[in-house]
Amino acid sequence: MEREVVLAVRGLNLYNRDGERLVKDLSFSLRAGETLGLVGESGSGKTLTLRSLIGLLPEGIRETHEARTDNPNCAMIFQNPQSALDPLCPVFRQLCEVIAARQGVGRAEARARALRLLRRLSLPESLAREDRLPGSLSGGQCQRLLIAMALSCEPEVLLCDEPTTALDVTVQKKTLDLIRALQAELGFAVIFVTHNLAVAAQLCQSLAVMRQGRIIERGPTEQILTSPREPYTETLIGAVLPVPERRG
Amino acid sequence: MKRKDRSRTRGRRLTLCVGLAMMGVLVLLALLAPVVCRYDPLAQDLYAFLQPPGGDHPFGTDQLGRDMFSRVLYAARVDLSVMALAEIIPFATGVFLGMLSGYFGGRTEWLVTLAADTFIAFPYYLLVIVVAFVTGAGVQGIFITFMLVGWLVYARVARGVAAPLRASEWVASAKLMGYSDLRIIATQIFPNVLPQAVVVLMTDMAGLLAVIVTLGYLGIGVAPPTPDWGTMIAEGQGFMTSAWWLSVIPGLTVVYAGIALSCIGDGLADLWR
Amino acid sequence: MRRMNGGEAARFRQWLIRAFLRALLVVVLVTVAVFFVIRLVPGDPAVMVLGEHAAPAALDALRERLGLNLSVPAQFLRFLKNVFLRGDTGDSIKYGVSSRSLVLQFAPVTLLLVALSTLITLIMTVLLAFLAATHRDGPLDQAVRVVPAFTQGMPVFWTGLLFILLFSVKLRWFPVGGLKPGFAGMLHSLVLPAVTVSFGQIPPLVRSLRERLLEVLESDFVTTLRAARLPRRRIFLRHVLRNAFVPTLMLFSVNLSYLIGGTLVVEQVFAVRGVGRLLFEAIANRDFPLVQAVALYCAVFVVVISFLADLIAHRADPRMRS
Repeated sequence: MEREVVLAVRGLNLYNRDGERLVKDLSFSLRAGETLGLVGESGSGKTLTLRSLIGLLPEGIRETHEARTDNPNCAMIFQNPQSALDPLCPVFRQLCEVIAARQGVGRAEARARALRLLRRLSLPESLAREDRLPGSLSGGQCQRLLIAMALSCEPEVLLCDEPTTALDVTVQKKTLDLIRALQAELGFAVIFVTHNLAVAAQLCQSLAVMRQGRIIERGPTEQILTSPREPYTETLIGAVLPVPERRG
Repeated sequence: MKRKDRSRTRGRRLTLCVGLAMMGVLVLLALLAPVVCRYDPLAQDLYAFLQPPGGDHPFGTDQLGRDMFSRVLYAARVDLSVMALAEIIPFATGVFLGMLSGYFGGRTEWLVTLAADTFIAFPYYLLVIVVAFVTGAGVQGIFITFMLVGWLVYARVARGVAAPLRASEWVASAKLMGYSDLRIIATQIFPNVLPQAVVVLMTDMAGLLAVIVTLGYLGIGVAPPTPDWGTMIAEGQGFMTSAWWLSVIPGLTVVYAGIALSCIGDGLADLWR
Repeated sequence: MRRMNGGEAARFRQWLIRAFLRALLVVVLVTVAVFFVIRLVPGDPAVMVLGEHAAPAALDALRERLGLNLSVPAQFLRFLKNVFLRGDTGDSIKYGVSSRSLVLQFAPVTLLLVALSTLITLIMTVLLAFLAATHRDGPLDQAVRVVPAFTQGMPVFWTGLLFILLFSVKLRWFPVGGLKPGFAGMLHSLVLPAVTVSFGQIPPLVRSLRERLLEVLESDFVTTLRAARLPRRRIFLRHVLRNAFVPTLMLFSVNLSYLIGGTLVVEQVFAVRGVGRLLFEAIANRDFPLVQAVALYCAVFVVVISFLADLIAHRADPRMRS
C-alpha cells in the first residue's frame, strides 16, 4: 500500500546575495514514515535545503521553486546541541514553553506533558525540579532535550541537520537508536543530513547524494551502496574507512 | 557557506579611501602651511579685524586681525602632531603589556588587569585636568596623562587577540619545536595583534584630538599664542552671534579630522576582518 | 531571576567575595595613585598658595597644616589614615572647610546630571539598537553604522556650544546656562547638558549593542525557537533581550568613566555648579587638597558602580563566573 506523500518539492533554487545559485533545481518527495538520508560534503547545500524546507532561510538567501508543499509540518534538530538552547533559560522551562505554545495548553498541563516527554526520552526528572541550564547538561542530554522539543511540535517530518556529528561515538549510537524508536512509534518521516555515509547507511532507507547544490543520485540505500551510478558517489563510498580485518 | 558580499566590500573600501583622502589633504596642507599661507598666523592687523570669510582671507580674520586660514592650518600642525606623538608610547606599551598578559596569563594577566582597573577608574578628563594642574598648562600634561591611561585600550585589544592564541595548536606546536616565548610572540602573536591595534589607534586618535582641543578650550592645554583649535574656539565664543566663523571654522576642522580618522579606522577594520 | 541551586550559589558567593576584595584593592590603589600624582607638583605648594612674597611664618604655618614638613612616607601614612579611618580627605585651603563637605555639597547636582544623562543614553541606545537590529539594512540600520564616524571626533564642549546656539539662543527652549531655582527648574536646566553628554556616547554604544543583538538573533538557540514556531515577539522579549542584557550592562559599565569625565567638562560649558566647577575652581585656586579629594571621590564612585554592575551581570549570567 502506497503511503501518502508528506513533503514534496520540485525545482528548488536558492540564491545568495551575489546571485550565485547555491542549490540548483532540487526535487524530491518524501512519504510518511520514510527516512531519507541527504549525504554530501560541506558546501553541497544540504543544510540550506533543510532550512528552506522549514522556512528558516538565513539573511540574504533568496528562494524560487516550481512547486512545494505549503507549510509542511516540520520540526528540526541541529548540529550543536548545547548552543541550540538558550544558555540563560532553564531547559525544562524551554521545553514547557514550546509545549504550551505549540499544543495550546496551559502552564500546568504543559509541565505534565513535559515530564512525560522527559521520561520517554530517558532524561532525568530532576531537570524539572531544579532550574538547570544547558551548560550543566551533557551533549547527549541536550540533544535528547532538543528532540523532545521537536516532538512537542507533533511533526510529520523531522529534519535532522547532522545531529550526531558533535557527539561522542557511543552517544551517537544511542541517539540514532532513539530517533529510530521514536519514528517507529510515532510514524513521522525523517530527513537526515550528514556527511558521514556510514551513519546515513545505518539509519536511512533511501539516500540522496548532493554535490554542489544538486542531487546527483537518489534511491534505496542498498541500491546506492552496492551499485552506485555516479563516480562521485563511488568516491564517497570508497572514502568510508572500513574496520580493518582482525588477524588471528 | 556564506560568500563575501561584493557590493558591501566595495562600500567599505570606499570609506577607507575617503578617510585617507580627507586626512591626506589636511596633513598635506598642514605640512605646507608655511608655503601655502599668505599671512603669518600671529600677525595682527587691527585694521582688518573681524572680517568675514572671503577674498583675501578665505576663513576671515579674528578680533585681532589675524588671518583665520593660516591660524587654522598652523593649529593643525600643533594639534595633529601632539595627537600623533602622544599616541606612540601608549600604543607601544599597551600592545606590549596586552600581549604579555594574554600570552602568559596567570599572574601577569592578573597584574596587568589590576593596573588597568585602577586607571580606568579615573574618568579620563578628570585625570587629564588633574595632571594639567600638576604640571601646569601645556602639552606635557597631555603627554603624561595619555601615557598613564592611553595604553589601556591597546592592552585590552592585544590581550583579546593574544589570549585565545595561547591555547591554539599553532602555539602548542611551536613550543614543542622549542621556540622561545619571545620568538612566538614576535612571529605569531604580534602580526595578529597589530591590525586590530591599528584600527583602534585610528578611533583613539580621533578621541585624543577631541581631548586636546577640549583642554585648549578649557585653557589648560596648548598655551597661547601658539595657535590651537581649542583656544580659538574659546576665544571666538564671545563673538558667536556676530562673527560665527571664529569658533565654527576651527570646530568644523576638528570634526573633519575626526570623521577622516573614523573612516580610516572603519575601512581598515572591515578590510582586515 | 531564577533561583540558583546549591552548587551555583556557592560558586557565586566565592566569586562575590573575590570580586569585592579586588574592588577594595583597586580603591586602595586609586588612593595611592591620587596621593602620588598630586605630590608630583613641582615647587612648594605653600608658596604656590600664598604667593612668593608671603611671610615666612605664614608659609611655615601652612606647611605644617598641610603636613608638608613630614617626610613623604609619613605624609602618605597620614593621608591613608585620614582617608580610611576618618573619611577625611583634607581641608580646602581656599574655603577652610573639609573637602568632603564641599564635595558632598556640590555632588547632588552632578549626580542628577549623571543620572539624567545615563537615563537618556540608556533609553536611546536600547531603542535605536533594537530598531536597527530588527530592521536589518533598513535606513535606520545604515544610519547607525555611519553616524558614529561623524560624532566620534566631536569634542563634547563643541556639541554643547552647538546645542546652546541652537536650543537656547535661537529657539529659547532652554536656559543658556546656570541652574534655575526649584527642583523642576533644576531639571529643566540640566536637560541640555545631559543631552550633550549623551550625544557623544550614544552612537558608539548603539553600534556595539546592535552587533550584540545581531549576534544573539543569529545564534543557534534562536533558530531552534523559531524552528519550533514560537511567536517572534515572545522569542525576542523572553530570550533575546535577556541574552543581550549582560553585554549591554558591561558596555555601560565601561562607559561610565567617559560619562563622568564628559559631565565634568559639560558643567564648565553650561556654567552648572557641580563637582566639575568645584574642581576647576580648586585648580584655579591651587587648592590641592580639594583637587585631591574630588579626584578620589570620582574614582571611588566609578569603582563602586562598576562593581555593582559586575554583580548584577554575574548574577544574571552564570557563564561569567568561570
